[in-house]
Amino acid sequence: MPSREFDFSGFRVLCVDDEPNILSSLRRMFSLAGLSVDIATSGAEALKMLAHQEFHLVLSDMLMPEMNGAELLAQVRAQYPKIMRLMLTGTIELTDAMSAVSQGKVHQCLTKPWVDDELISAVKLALENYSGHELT
Amino acid sequence: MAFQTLRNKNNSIIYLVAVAIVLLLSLWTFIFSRSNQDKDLVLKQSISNLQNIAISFKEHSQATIRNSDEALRIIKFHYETRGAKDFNLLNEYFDKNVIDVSFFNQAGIINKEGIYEFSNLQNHKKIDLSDREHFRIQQDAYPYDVFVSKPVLGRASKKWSIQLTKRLSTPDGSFNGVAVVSFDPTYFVDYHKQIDLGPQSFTSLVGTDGFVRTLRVGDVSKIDGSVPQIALPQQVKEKESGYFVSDILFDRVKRIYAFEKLKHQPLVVMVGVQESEALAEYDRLIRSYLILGGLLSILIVTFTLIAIVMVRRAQQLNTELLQSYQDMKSAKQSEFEMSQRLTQSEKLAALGQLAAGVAHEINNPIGYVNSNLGTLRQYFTICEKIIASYENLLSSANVPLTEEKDGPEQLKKKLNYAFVKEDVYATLSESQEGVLRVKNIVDDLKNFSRSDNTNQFVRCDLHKAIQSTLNIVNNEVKYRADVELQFGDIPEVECLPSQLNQVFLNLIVNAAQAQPQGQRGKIIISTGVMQNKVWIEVSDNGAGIAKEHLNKIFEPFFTTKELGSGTGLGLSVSYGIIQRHDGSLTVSSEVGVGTTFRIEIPIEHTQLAQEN
Repeated sequence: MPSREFDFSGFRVLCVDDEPNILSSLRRMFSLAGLSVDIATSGAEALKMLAHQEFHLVLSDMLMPEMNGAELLAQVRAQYPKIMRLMLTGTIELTDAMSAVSQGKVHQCLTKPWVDDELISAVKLALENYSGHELT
Repeated sequence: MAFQTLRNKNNSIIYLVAVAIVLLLSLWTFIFSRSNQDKDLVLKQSISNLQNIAISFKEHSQATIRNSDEALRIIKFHYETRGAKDFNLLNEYFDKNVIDVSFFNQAGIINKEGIYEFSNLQNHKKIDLSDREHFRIQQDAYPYDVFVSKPVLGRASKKWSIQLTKRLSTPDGSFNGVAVVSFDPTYFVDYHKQIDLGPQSFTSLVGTDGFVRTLRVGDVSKIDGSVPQIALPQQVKEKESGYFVSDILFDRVKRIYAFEKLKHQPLVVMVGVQESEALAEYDRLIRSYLILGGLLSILIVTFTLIAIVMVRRAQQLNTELLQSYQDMKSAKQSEFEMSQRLTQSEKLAALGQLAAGVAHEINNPIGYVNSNLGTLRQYFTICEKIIASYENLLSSANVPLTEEKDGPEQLKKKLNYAFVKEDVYATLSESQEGVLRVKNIVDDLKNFSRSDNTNQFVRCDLHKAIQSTLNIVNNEVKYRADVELQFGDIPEVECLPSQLNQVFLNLIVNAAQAQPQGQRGKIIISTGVMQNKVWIEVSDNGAGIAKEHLNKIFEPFFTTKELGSGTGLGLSVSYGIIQRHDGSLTVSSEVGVGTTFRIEIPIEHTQLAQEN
């Protein structure tokens, strides 16, 4: 599997979801792929972590209390334009997510339930594209 | 039903007609039998009356004959003791009224040769009367004391008279002439006149041989011998008294005749009255009976007709009433079915709107369970590798079975086995939790979407129902508000659970949607008991409802939500559902403070409520 051969070392990924079990499974999956991830259970927590550490990619849920994924990623884009932004949403109403993609707030939108390899490939692709430059 | 009514109608009318016929038959049978009785009675009275008159007539006739006989006896005694001598003495009897001649035309003696030898008249002439019946009959030993003749025209008096004769005998008993009194028939007739039996009445003194002595029909007296012999019925000849009806006796007039035979005389008095006259009273009665019967019949027929008309009208009304009742019933039924369908449709619409949220609720656990399964597969691969390494180590040939060069311990470290071993259990239990969540959501959905077409009220734990509804709407609520449950101690309630779930869903979603965007609110769901009811309140601290909207929110299609986000039927349908439970759904709200919906429903559902 090509994703496994990608060298994730040196990259930091932040997963944001209000559902702890999602975060657990994501962490396991990425960890097995050789990517260690950090987790946050809300947008506010994520922003706090972003302020203190360097991350290359933020993977966020869409529907969350208080601040949803589109709002979070819009802020991430505003504050840290270099960071790659992926959305992983469980809702079947993709209007909001898609508009977030089309508005450039998000690089790619994936849906739950996800296929592990696809998600890893997407993350890999995003990290490969990570140039350290602002991607809009 | 229509057939039944028709049959009832016909039955009632047949019954009425039958009663009327029975009444009419009874009436006329009564009148007929009564009139027959009355006819008999009138006839009997008439006959009895006639017989009394006949008796009195007989007595009168007999008295007349007896009086005459007295005169005849004196004359006879005189003649038989003194012969033709001393006629002067006899004259003296007459003159001195020893013999009352006031009702005789004359009195005299016809000698044995038939010569009218003596008469009380001044201008007496000794004429020959030997050919006369009243003389000749005494020659032949007439069996009766006195002979009463038919009217004859007197040769001496020149008047019509009835001769009464008595045989005169010599001392040796041989015929010696007759004593005679000549009688004015009007004497009898005058008596007749006193009897008023109508214009066709009949009175007669007649011989048993049929020869009429005197006769009067109506006002006309027959005293001139012009009446021929009449044929008397046999019974007149045989019996002393009696009555009969005849229309051939004297003329063609039908009369009732009473007759009385005179004592010691071959004479019969007869009194007749025209039958119609006799039955005049009966006719009057019959007429009044007929009038009465006719009036009663008209009355019965009229009443029957009125009754039939009324029965028909009543039945028509009844049919109309039944029809409108059935119309109403079917309208009510379709209204009920419509409301059932509406309830179901609204539920489906609500579910449709919730589908995205529910999908989200399911996608999350499915997502991580699926991912965890992939992880577990990899964990197992790690385990396999380590096991293989151990197997290599243990093999007697000490020939590596795999390409793996590292020993088990190195492998464990390399593959982070310590973590894997620990994480397997966490992964499994999280996955189980995820699967359980999906199962619960599906269960709740199943409960929620079940149609209550049977309308079977069942006992239900409302707290479970609320919890179940909350699970379904979790996705709608959790991003907008915190839910606080303040459940009281309530008993199970007889209800239509899936319909109540629908109400809870509406109220909870409304409460969640009442929260202003980006502001996390609070929803309090509380329950309690009040007498024989339970109450459930859903309160939010959201936007509140404007006063002008407050009285419209239960109206169908009233909505303040943007197009496409609601059917506008949620509260209206909820209101209907609570009414179906014989309960109440009320609202209190203040703009900017929040809204509280309160449901009250009886713990025990009564049949009456369900019918209502």
